[in-house]
Amino acid sequence: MSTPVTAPETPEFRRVHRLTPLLRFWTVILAILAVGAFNLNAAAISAAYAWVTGGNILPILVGLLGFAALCGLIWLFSQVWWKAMGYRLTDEEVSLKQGVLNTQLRTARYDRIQAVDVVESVIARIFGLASVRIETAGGGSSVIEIAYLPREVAEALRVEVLERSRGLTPRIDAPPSPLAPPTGAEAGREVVPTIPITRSLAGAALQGSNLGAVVIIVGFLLAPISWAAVLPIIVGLVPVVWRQIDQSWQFTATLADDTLHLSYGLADRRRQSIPLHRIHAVTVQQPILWRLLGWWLVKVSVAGYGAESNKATGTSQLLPVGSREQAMALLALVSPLDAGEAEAHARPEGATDPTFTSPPAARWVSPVDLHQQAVTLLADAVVVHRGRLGRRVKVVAPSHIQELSLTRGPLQQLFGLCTVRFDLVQGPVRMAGEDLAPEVGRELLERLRARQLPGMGSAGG
Amino acid sequence: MNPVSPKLTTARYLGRLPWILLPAIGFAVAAWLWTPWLWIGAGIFLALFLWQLWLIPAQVKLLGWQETEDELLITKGRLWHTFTVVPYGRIQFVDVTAGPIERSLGMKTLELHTASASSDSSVQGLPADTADALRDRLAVKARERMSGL
Repeated sequence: MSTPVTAPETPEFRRVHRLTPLLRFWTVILAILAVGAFNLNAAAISAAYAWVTGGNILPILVGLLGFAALCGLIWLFSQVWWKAMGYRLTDEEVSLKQGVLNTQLRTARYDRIQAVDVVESVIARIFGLASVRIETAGGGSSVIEIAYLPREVAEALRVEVLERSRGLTPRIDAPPSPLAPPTGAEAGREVVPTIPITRSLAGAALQGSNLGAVVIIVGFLLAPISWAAVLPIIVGLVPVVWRQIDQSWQFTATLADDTLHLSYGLADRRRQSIPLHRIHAVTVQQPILWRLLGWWLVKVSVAGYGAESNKATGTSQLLPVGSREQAMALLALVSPLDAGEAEAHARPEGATDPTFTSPPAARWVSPVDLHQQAVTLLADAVVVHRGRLGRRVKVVAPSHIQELSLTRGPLQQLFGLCTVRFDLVQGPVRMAGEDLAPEVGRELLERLRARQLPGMGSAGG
Repeated sequence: MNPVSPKLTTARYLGRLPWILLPAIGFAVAAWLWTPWLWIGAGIFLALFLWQLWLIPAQVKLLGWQETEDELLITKGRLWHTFTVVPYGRIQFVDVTAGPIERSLGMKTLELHTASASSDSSVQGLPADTADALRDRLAVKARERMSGL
């Protein structure tokens, strides 16, 4: 609308289903109806009954008419939004427009599309509708969600978008299919043999946050306080513990055809396939209490998988709990480093030959971690160490760094420090050169700006 | 660095200050009517008002953008100052948005989306024609220098 689109010939915008604005806000509408029903208490009903028996039905008629008028008004109002929504497929890109007050036009080129999913939420399924999610591996809201369409239209649209994206770039990644049959899961090399159940449980129990909560609960129970005070903590804790146990339950990882096949789950058994080339960054970390047992965990950021909390995409852990050898073997497998380099430069216990470290002034900003936070620049990898109590090392190939940000918070401005943040794809691995001296930070920024971007047909700049 | 439109100060004043001024007036009226203790609330909101009155022009002055050969540079922020480097090849898509206040002042917001989640690469308060021209240039450059993830 307000944004002209530079496409050679632009086909018409196609309409979504008329119910879309209502379904988008169905929770709000449901809440209003619930409030109405809640207020319809016994007194109101008896009053209405008295009117009916008294032969005076006018107030009820007025009420019903008012309700109908309100519904009609909401419907008409929603149609204004519906009219503003639309999507279209041009030769180069797919676009979605929406909004009345804040207009938005979002476009994505076909060669940037990572996956196309058809999602049927509960509310949409009632009406036989579905939404099409086009993942472009951007940040949190990088999805173009065309909602809602009749199920067959959505399916046809998915096929059309996939075909168009293949037609332009044959080397586009296949959409991630966590539910694909476990081909090669048995045939491949076993990277992580099935994790014993006892270790999964012990690992979850020794996570610092859980132990802290247990201590608080015991403290509450010993103190003369009623159960009511403890209940919210337990309620809050259960999903966290459940998730930790669920994601490491009988966890097995095998490698076949450069693809990691994960298999795990307590309630639903899930199988997940992660192509190695889609892994951007890896972290090996150790919660503080795991140091007693020498256990580590390995997590990765994968393009298109999105946030760790996004359950639709499954786990991001390659090793929920395991020995140091397993962790280092995985690190060598998925990072640009080989086993020797990983041991030499990326020991998870701490940096051995850091390129950049924090100056003494950083003790005011980061008193505990000061001597542990370090950045090591290698030929084909950037290694970041952190953590004095719980320990972690993170590795990324420079070409996988998306954006670079030099940031200075109020305290850092006061003490002459800066942080160089490496903006990676969304996932559990977040990296930054923390609390560096300004000139050091600028040097790190300049050296990383000179990185070579991976090509995609045309040469990367 | 190219500065953004100075009218952004007006837009942010219009967008933020009423929400601080209204409670301040409310507290003042209530204090005058009932108890002088409520002057504390009015004072807090007045301090917030003066703080924003100073902060917003300072923020707008520090907003800037620049096109280089291969990258778009964005600076912003008074308290949390950030300097962001976005290689053109990383741009996934570009949003151009305009709220009611911005639109009436002839400005638009340009937002770059890359595959990264942690960064905020947007430029607020661009004059409408600059924003549209920049969007078109970025689209061309992103296509020319397109790189893999």
